[in-house]
Amino acid sequence: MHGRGLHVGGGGAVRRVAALAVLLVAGAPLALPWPRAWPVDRGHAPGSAVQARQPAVPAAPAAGPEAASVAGAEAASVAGAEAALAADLVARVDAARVLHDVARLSGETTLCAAQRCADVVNRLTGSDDLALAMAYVAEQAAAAGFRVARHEWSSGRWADHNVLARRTGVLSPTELVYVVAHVDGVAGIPSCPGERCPAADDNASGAAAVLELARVLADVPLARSLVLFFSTGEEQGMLGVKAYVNQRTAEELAAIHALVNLDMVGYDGNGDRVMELYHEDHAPSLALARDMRDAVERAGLPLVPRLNPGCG
Amino acid sequence: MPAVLQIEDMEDDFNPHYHTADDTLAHMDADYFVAQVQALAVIAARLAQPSSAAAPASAVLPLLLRTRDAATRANEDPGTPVSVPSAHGPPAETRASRER
Repeated sequence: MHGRGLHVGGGGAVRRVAALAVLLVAGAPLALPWPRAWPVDRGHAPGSAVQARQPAVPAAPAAGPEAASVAGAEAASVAGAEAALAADLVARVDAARVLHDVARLSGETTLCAAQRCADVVNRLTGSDDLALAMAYVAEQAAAAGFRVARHEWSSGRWADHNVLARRTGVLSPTELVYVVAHVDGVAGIPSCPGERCPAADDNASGAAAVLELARVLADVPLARSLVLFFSTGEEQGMLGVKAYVNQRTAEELAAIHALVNLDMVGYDGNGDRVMELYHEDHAPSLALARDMRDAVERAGLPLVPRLNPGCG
Repeated sequence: MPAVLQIEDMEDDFNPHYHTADDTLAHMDADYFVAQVQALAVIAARLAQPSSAAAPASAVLPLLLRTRDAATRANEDPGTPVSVPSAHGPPAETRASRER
């Protein structure tokens, strides 16, 4: 998370910074209206995933007075299949694999990519170690079947590249879902003055989470297109993401169905399992945050999702 | 566009190691972190699926079932599905570097 000039432990200040990360993508110029039409599946208990494992029979085309009940049965079947899929995907997350990735990215263990190995000292934007980390995420996403591309950017004295990993949807390919995590970390700042700044929670955790998502979805057909966005320059003010957004047309931005940014997802000092979903009181983002919260609760995960308006 | 930040508890449980040399894996909570990754899997699967407006349920259902079959096969046979090379294995040129 970007926090230039902030004192460590400044909860209020950090909260404002967290809000900024959302504002960048949800701010006024980008807050384009988008018709949302999620399948209605509220009231689904976590345990229903097991029940839904029975093979469902696709309903026949609805006609006449029976149309309503057929549509209702279809909706229930879709919700059941969705719950079953969620349970299967949760089971595919490999804890050792994703923790190993945090260890590699934060310099705890050796990281190898692009025919080079090193113990990462820090992941400062523009550094060789960050380049190695970016090569690693690109390789791993490609191995999971994503099309990988570099997006070069420069801003003032900073320059680096983002990595975008794409899968094309089979039903609604023009609707894009973005999942974002910054790979860069701080170094040479007052709170981390030495060379060694592991940046494990901020944000090897988010980057490793998005990599694991690529693997979990490896052979799963997706209805919408999915873009995994590994960014750099975040700690200098979200430079990589800003450069990318500034180069997109209004049409391209309007095609973004939803965006989820993962930043610092590994610390739980008080053990209360709270996860926060910042939505900025921006109506479409609030609806997305509610949908995310409901999906997490339905899956029965050991988390307490909490909506946070940030600055509002 | 709808955009949400998924994050740990910044409000009441701020990471004291934030932006320091102590922001290490050892100071993370492994179980909590893995649950966050699982949450992302659930969220992404939901978002990447079609809306009811984009496709009627009769079109959506077979897709979801196919999707689930793929995931189930992967769970039952962990040896085959996701081939992710070891970071210590033979290095491979990335598509990204080829496009440079």
